[in-house]
Amino acid sequence: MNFYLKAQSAPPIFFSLTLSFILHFLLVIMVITLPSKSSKEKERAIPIRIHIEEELSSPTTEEVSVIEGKGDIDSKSTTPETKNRSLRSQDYTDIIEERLHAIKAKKRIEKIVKLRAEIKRDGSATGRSLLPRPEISSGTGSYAKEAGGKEKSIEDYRHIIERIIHSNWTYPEMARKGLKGSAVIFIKRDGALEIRELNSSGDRLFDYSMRNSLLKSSLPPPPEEMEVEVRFSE
Amino acid sequence: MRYLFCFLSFLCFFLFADGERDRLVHGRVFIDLNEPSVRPLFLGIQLHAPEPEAKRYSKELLTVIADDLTYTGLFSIIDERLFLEPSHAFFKPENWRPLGADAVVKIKISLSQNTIKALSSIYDVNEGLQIFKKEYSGDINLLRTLAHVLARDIYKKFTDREPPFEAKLLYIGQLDGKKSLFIMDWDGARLRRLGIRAETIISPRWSEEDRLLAYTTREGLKWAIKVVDFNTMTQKTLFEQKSLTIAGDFIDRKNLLITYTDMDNQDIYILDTETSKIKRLIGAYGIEIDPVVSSDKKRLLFVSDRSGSPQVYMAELSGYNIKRLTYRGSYNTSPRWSPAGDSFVYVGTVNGKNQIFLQRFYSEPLQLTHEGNNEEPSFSPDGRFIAFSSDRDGLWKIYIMRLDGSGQKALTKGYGFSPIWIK
Repeated sequence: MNFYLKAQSAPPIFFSLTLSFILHFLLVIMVITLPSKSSKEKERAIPIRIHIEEELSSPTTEEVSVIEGKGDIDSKSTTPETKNRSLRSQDYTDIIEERLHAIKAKKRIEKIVKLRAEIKRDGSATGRSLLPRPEISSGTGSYAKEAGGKEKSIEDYRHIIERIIHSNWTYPEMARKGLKGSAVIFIKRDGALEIRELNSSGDRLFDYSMRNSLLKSSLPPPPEEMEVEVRFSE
Repeated sequence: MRYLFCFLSFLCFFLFADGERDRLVHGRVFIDLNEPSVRPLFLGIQLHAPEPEAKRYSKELLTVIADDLTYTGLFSIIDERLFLEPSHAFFKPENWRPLGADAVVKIKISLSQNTIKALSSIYDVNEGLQIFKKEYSGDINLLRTLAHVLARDIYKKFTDREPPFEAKLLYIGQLDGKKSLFIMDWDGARLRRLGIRAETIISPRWSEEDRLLAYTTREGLKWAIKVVDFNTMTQKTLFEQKSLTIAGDFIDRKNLLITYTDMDNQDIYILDTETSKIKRLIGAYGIEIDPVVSSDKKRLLFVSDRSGSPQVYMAELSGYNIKRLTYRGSYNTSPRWSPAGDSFVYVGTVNGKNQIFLQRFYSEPLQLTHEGNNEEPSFSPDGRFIAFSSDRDGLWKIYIMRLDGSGQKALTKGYGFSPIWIK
């Protein structure tokens, strides 16, 4: 929800987001605070809450980390429970919990099946990593708090990850020279790196070196989630 | 009613929130990287031969694969003494990351009668995934061929290019005081001789699409151009002359470029391989020799002394648009096209010795050899290696090197001259 607070670019976007937020918020308040006339109405309210919970509790990290350390999945699943408790009676809490766990389990299974199918198909698999994300030690978060503003901390962070990725970028001496390529990555709150796009250089070995440099890099948590375009040129 | 309101509000939220994505694109952070660290791909190769009969072939198979891949300069094979994972165990990336491995190849071999079977699986350590799996089988006598094929597929997986691992080298060798033609693997193994002998043999030329070999002999006073059809292993004498005549490249099955002497002057002619008739293509006041055709059959390179000294020239296949290409040195000969047609090699004299140069069009030439005399360079089919002859050891032998001049090594123990590549 904090994107609204740091909209720096196009004012029209900021305006539309704020408007949307306000409208939405008002409607939700309406629904929640209006007195429930019957149990039938009560039941109707619950689907909305699950809808919200689903949105908050199924971030993209889960998609990637299905076969990774259980830590990711487990830690995420505790969040909706706390929210549930404050809202309705214990019965409804239980139903919601069950539904959430079922949804998560289903997603996990779907992901495993999908990856297995990809591996079987031609002995090769597409980009997603199965490696456990390395534990990111805390002692960060200082980026957001630094005096000098958000701009400076993003720039500092950019500089740091540039060095990390560069140090992991290797390429054979005898390989083709003069190549260029790029990749778009998304850095999550915990520093986990997701490769979203790889713009080929036209040479498989070079593309391989780009991808590897990103896969080998373990980044500290960023001041904010960000999309980064990394341009490689030999 | 309430539910409907909330549902609609959600729609609105997402419609407006799409602007969020635009913001991210506008707010994207950029990183520019140049100059990666130099490092080949680190490869772990494991051979698993559960049956003892198959085990004794493991070493040779592994050596051929490792040597092929290492010689390209793109791979470094990890010493198996460092391996943490036994060859029969399933791949686990955490067993390989500490070794700095980029990929692992696990090959399982088995033997049944005279057939050897191999199952090759390649794993990407950084992704933690299997990326390749293929089964192979072949006669045990073709073990080295199997090894080259396995190595080829590994190479192709990472580079998407064809390596020259399965190619052969044909060259002029010596036998009992006469010359003969020999063929060996690109790594110097499995040497065989063709049943051809002559007092002098020079200039072997190969046509890959028709599988024809042209070569030139001199017996007594006669020069002859002969063609061997490798499809039938039969030979024909196309042309004979008392004065010097040398086979050049094939334009196609029917037309062979030759150097022909007319009144003490050498010029480039086209020889009709069916009628043995000749037609002049390029001739001037001076000497024109050694014609070679580009892969796309559009241009040719040759040597001419029309400027006063032998230099390399280029022309269209029609014989028109003649352009001089070499300006350094006073004696430049033996030009050969790269398969891509974007560069050529030639032999230039430096301090009284012959050396091999690589020249990209519109660039300065690069000297690749420095020791002894080095002649008759020939590009591998993939354009990344050059075979040549060198007398640096006191005896003419066949050598090979990488495109940048690195990795120079002898392939023959005995006499060898004028290597050409055969796929």
